[in-house]
Amino acid sequence: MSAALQYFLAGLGIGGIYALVAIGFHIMWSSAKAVNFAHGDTLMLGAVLTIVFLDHGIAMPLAILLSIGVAIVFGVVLERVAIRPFADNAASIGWMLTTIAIGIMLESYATIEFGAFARPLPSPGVDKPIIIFGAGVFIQELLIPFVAVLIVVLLGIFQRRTQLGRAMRAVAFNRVAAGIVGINVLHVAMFSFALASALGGLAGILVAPVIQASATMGLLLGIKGFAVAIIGGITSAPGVVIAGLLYGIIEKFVDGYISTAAREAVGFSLVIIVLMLFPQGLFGRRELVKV
Amino acid sequence: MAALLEVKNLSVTYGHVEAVRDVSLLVEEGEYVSIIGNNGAGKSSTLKAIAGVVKPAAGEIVLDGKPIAGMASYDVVRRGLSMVPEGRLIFADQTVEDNLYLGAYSRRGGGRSAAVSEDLERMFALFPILKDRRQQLAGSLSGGEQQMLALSRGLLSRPRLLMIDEMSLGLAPRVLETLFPVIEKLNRDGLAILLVEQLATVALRYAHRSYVMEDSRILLSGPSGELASDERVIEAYLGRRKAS
Ligand SMILES: Nc1ncnc2c1ncn2[C@@H]1O[C@H](COP(=O)(O)OP(=O)(O)OP(=O)(O)O)[C@@H](O)[C@H]1O
Ligand SMILES: [Mg+2]
Repeated sequence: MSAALQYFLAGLGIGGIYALVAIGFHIMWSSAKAVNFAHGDTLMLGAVLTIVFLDHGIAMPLAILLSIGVAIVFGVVLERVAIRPFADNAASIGWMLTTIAIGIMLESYATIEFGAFARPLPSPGVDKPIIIFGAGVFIQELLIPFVAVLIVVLLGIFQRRTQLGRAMRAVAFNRVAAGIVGINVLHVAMFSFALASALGGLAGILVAPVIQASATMGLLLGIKGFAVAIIGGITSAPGVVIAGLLYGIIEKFVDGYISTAAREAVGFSLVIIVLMLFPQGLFGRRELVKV
Repeated sequence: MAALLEVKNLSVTYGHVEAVRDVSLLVEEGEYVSIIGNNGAGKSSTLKAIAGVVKPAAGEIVLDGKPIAGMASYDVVRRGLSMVPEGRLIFADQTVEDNLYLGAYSRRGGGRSAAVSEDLERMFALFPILKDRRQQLAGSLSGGEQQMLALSRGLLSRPRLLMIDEMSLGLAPRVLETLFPVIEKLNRDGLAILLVEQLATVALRYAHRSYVMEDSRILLSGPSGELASDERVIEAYLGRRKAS
């Protein structure tokens, strides 16, 4: 019983990260109908830069803000150079290559500057575990899914109550219709990439105390976040959060009851099965791609 | 009267398809103008080029004395020209109210200003059913209600010229009997209208002047009354022989 609870709580922690990454994919997909495969590296940027800033004697809150700021700049620049050039042609998938390339370059550069080893990011949330019915869990691990759910709720309110939020949904729904009411689709795309990257940087900072920060941490987190976005239905923000939390929990159960080695095999098999049954993802809606 | 919209020698191409060829047309301040023509004649492409949805291959488009050809659609609407597109293109996954707020997107202050709230009430006065449905998802509206919403959304940018593409598409005659008088009233209150319509009879009844488009070109133009009694128009578009 306490073992199962243990896996469940740890699963929520890592699942919350997948959820946060997937919300980013959802936001970027909605505005640009493109996938930023360097998004995992935005997490890395947030985590690694925070450690670097702390090394330079900058206080934690400022280090976090600065890192998220850099992540935002990264996202905005990436949209300009790697996504927008392909935006005019709906059939172009050039962004696949450019975003993967930028991710690899960033990872290499981080390896040179930061070193090829993992370092913990200190946080009061991992000082000592709290015990719930015999299961030990760090506050940090509980904080992560809470933040993920909070963000999807806030995003929903933002998209219903503000013109910019409505514009985001309008662009996701139909770019021509958005244009004729006066929405500059490129501005919305820029804002969306800034927002997604801020959430990516934040996710990196939140997860680093739990799994440690390294130049290569973004790869698997990015891929799993993407997988979660696809099975959740990339058009639905609540959908990808639910899928993220479930995926994290299932992973931890496989970890605990079968083996760590089986984790990725089982996880990705599930992804494939879900996609065969629900091609639009569990909560997604069919997108009309007009060419 | 001064020309509000002047289109000169407009061409629109899609790859090798020349959808609009050398089209010139004029809408005066406060005028009600229609374009009629068969499927594929190039009517929608003409409107899309004017609205900035597609880039013209050649030609001039002048709104209020200023060239707007090639300008992005979000800029065109800021200059007082709004389009109600073919197929309506309402934001089906947002509420009726949110669609209306989005209609005001181009206005300074955007959504929550008092002027926008007033205009919302004006739309609800024009189409009371929208008020009852204001919290409902736009996609759940009937075809006629969706067209009312598309018109209202187009009006919320406070245009001086409203372009309406194929308003009658898929709608019952009963619905059209409520919609066309509303357009006429808007026009009487000073709004210029450029109406694209397959229902030639209706278009010629309401519009002051009309253009007949065929094979990407303007074939005929003139006061609607004259066109309605023109042999060629009667045969090709009104679907009946002149009583004789
Ligand atoms: N996006 C596009 N790509 C390629 N060809 C197009 C495109 N849009 C329109 N066309 C072609 O351009 C021509 C004119 O089309 P357009 O939609 O302007 O005609 P229309 O007069 O509005 O017709 P309808 O009455 O059916 O709406 C047609 O031959 C059409 O097939
Ligand atoms: Mg048409």
